[in-house]
Amino acid sequence: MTSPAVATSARLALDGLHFAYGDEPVLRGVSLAAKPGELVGVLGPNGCGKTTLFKLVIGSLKPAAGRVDVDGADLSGLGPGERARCVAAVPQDPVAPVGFTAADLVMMGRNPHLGLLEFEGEQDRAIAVDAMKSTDIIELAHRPVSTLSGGERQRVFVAMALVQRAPVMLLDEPTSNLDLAAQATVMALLQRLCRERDDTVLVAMHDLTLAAQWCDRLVLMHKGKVRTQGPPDEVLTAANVAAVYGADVVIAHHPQTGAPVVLPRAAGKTPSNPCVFGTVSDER
Amino acid sequence: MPGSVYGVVRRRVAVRLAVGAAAVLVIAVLAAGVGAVAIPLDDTVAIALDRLPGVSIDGDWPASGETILWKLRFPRIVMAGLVGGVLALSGAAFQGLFRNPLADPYLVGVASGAGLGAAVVFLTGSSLFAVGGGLPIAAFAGALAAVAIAYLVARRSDGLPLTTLILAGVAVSALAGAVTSLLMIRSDPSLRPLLSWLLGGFSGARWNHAWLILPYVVPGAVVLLAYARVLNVMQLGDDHARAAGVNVERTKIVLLGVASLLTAAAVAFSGVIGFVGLVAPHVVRRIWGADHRFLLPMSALVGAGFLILADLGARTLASPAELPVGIITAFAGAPFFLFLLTRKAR
Repeated sequence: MTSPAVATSARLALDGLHFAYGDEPVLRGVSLAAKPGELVGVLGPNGCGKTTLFKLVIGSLKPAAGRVDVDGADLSGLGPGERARCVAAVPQDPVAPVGFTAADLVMMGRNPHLGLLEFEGEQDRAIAVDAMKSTDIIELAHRPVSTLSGGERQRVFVAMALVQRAPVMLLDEPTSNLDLAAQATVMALLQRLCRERDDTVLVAMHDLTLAAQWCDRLVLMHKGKVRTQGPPDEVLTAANVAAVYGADVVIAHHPQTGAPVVLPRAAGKTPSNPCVFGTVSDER
Repeated sequence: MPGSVYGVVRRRVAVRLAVGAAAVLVIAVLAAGVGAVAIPLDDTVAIALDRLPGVSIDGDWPASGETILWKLRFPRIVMAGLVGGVLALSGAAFQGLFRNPLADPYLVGVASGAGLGAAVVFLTGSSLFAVGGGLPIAAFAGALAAVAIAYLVARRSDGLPLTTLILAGVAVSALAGAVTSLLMIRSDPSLRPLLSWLLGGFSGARWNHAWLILPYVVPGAVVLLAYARVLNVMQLGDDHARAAGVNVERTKIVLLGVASLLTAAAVAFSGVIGFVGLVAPHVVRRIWGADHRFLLPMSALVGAGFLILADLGARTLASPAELPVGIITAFAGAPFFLFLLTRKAR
């Protein structure tokens, strides 16, 4: 699974992406592919290139080499509007502009489908309302976004990305400022979008355990390269985490799902019962 | 269901804009009757309608009244309305583009560039306010040159960083302002009128001034209004706007260029009138919210009505003397704005 073969069935395919800020290489040949309906977690320490990778896919930055394909078509020749119909994105810490309601914000996602002098029509309104229903924000429609809680706000931004009707959605650390319940709500929402709409969703995350619970596949990045990618229990091994994060961890397993749970190793302690909430596998 | 979330709002917006336009018209007609010679309302309306193509009204108004209205007050009111509308519209566009509530149409050098252009004309003694004469052309050129310098300094190969543009604009403004001040101090008698020009006014307004700026105002306003929805998306920041399909760099250049052109056209004939372009968008935003599709046209209407009233004050408060209209806009606008700041924003 570490081989980055770009399958023809891939919805999103990144092939050999290179990028440097000045002389500082940030991405050094990143390749990965994601299938329709897949929720993919992109992991790695600060500075590993996750955000740069997302900016390349959105088109904010141009790769020095390599290409981005959606459904087999190269994005590099597309204008901003066409690109936004292929890839929607929620950046890290999105701005909640003052004076706009949740409904206003969601409708902004129709922008790539409208001409300069065109007003949104009945169909656009129906799409926006549909997205607000599936993100469970319909009651918040007339609330100013700046007054919403972090979790509510994140759902509004997801709804805005949804109405772009792009087959691929990127989210840069959508859960990092949320409480426990809101994290689960957002991740469950993303999982449902993949299942029900067959969308492909890439999520950059810092919380390895949270990523392992919800994502179908994980991509572990290190120093501008993909170190490994695959199912969560193959990617999140103590050896991989140690190599990438320099952290000494043990991997446990969720008692209900068996998904990996990453825990710091307790120095010098021998627990009386090492299997309080599941099995701890030390050797991985 | 779509109707209940989105439908009501749009009808309300259309009604508000219609009411705003009607209010500006009423202010204009009422203001036309006031002055050294008072003209009754029915005469004002009859005289105005009589000149419309295809309309003929029988009435026995005094010929002097018709002369005063057509030669002096109507062009003045039309110019005040146009300039007020343009400054407020450009101010709203600049505030949206820079995502900065302090932005006004003069932020990137239009005012000081126009001032320097005007100073050069006063110094070389070109005919004052003559149509086709040096002053408006020099002011217009100076305004655009200042913005162009700021733009060229701030531009990078991969885009236009707006913070750099603001800083460049501030520096260009300071430089042009310093040169203007130097010229004023070195050659005092010939530049006395420059001070009152800098404060702005419509005492020299003529119909052909309006005809000269309309070719800039109408297409410019259409372009800014066309970008209203994109301006909304731009509030999310460059990366998010780009992800939502906005051509961010083109949008910045178009908005900067068109708003500067509009402001330069307004400043060329009326001088540098402060406060309208800053305050009108804030009034609209605090009362009705920040959607640029409403904010831009409503700011233009508020700016037009406000400047017509301010000019009425300029020509009547110290009659027969004229006050610079810029003083009135600050005197009337600032306290109202301070009051608005004490209220809870929408």
